[in-house]
Amino acid sequence: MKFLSFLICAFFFFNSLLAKPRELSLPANILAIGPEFYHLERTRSGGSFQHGEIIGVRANYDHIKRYKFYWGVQGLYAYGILNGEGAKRKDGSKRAKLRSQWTDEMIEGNLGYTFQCKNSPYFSFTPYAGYGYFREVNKFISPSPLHVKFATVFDYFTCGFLSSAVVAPGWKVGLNARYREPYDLKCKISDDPEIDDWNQRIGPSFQYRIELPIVYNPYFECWSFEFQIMPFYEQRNYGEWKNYPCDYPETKIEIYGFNLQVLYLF
Amino acid sequence: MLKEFFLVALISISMGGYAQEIVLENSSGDSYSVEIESEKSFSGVIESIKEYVAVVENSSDQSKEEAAADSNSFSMYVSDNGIKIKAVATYKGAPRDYDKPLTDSDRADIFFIVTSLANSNLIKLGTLKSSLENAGDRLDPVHTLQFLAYIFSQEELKAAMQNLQTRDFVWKKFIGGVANSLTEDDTCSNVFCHAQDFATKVGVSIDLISPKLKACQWEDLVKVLIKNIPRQGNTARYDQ
Repeated sequence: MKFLSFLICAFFFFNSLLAKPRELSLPANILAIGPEFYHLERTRSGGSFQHGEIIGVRANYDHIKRYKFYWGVQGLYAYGILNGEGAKRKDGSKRAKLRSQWTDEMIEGNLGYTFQCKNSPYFSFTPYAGYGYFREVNKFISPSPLHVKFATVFDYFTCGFLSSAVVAPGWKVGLNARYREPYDLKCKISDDPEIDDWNQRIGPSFQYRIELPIVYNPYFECWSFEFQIMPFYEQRNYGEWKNYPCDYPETKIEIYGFNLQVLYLF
Repeated sequence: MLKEFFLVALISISMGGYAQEIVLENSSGDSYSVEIESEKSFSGVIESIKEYVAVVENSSDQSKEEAAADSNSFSMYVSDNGIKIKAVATYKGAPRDYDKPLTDSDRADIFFIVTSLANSNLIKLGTLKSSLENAGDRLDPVHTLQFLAYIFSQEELKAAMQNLQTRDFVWKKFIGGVANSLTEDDTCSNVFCHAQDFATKVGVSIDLISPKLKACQWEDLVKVLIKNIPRQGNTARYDQ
């Protein structure tokens, strides 16, 4: 244990010698874009389950500077195919096979404030709050028994924080977390052969996302570009709500993934 | 038409005197003082308040006189706050007519109240407050069992009631209003006599609801209805 403590102290000591205070004089504006890959699992209270791989693109713009106001916007578009099985049948027969096209679309703006240490490891912490719009589409295709499109649409309030620390020359790691509070949730149902298009209400919902950004600058003296890999976990919970003529079942979506981004600093 | 008015009695008890002064305050804010002998029993005090209210209110308002003449209940809510007791007296007029059919306006009001309370967010409910109160006032002459029978005969309202039950804050307000109305109807012996017809209308067994009606467990009655009246159609159609 003592040896481990010694190693950690030694690491930060040498790191403080190596890392130059240029971290503090970084440009304030960061433009980032890159692909995002994730595995999505969707479970409904009636027993249906779907999963699949989704690929998309995420773009961010952040204005972030030590002891200054932070603002940022970000957007996501992602698409993939989900497969799975329908709910358990009362007669005990085999569950229906499900297949659907999944789309996520999101745009969000945030405002916060950045606190940052002057000395290595230049620990930075940026709490923020924001507002966004989300659209999640699940369009069922063959061999699903019911070809119907669910479009879950909502505005949301968000809050969270960004954090980072320089752990070695050219390397920065962080922990980001965000909570989303959707309001006026609706699931627009269309393409049902028996029922005209209508909006289902959805019960109380909460969503959160945790990210572990790892940023590398290969050209230590040139700060214009950085590269980032960011594993993340996200959960979206939608509560049950009784509707007429059909209910919205409790729905849980779990997402594991990562994104790769090129960061341009200016 | 049901006539009712409320009278709030603020009773200040003088601990050492022979007589105690009770200040009665009606809903308009007018105050009246009445002396009560200190030896009087609690029920005697209530009786004195009731008699005094009838005299004072009857002399000042003809319609209230008629209401008081039909008076058949006096309920008192007591909160002990030092030496003060707050009481509410309620007088009622003619009982609500169970056999009077609902009008289109009544149906629209019931639909509006139940779906708004069940589905609107709290901000929207705030903006709808006066409309909801007005709709509630318009439904005052409707017998409470008629009100419930309509709710539990409509699929959309059955679903709404299930949602309403999960919204604690709104549910307490709603069920409080329903319970008060049922208590008023029950005071006129105007509830249990309609139990069989009501059970037939909503499609539940009389055995399920009669114990709740007999015991005046109004919230439990509504919960039993929510639980036991099945919804029609395939409500789980989209569970995929």
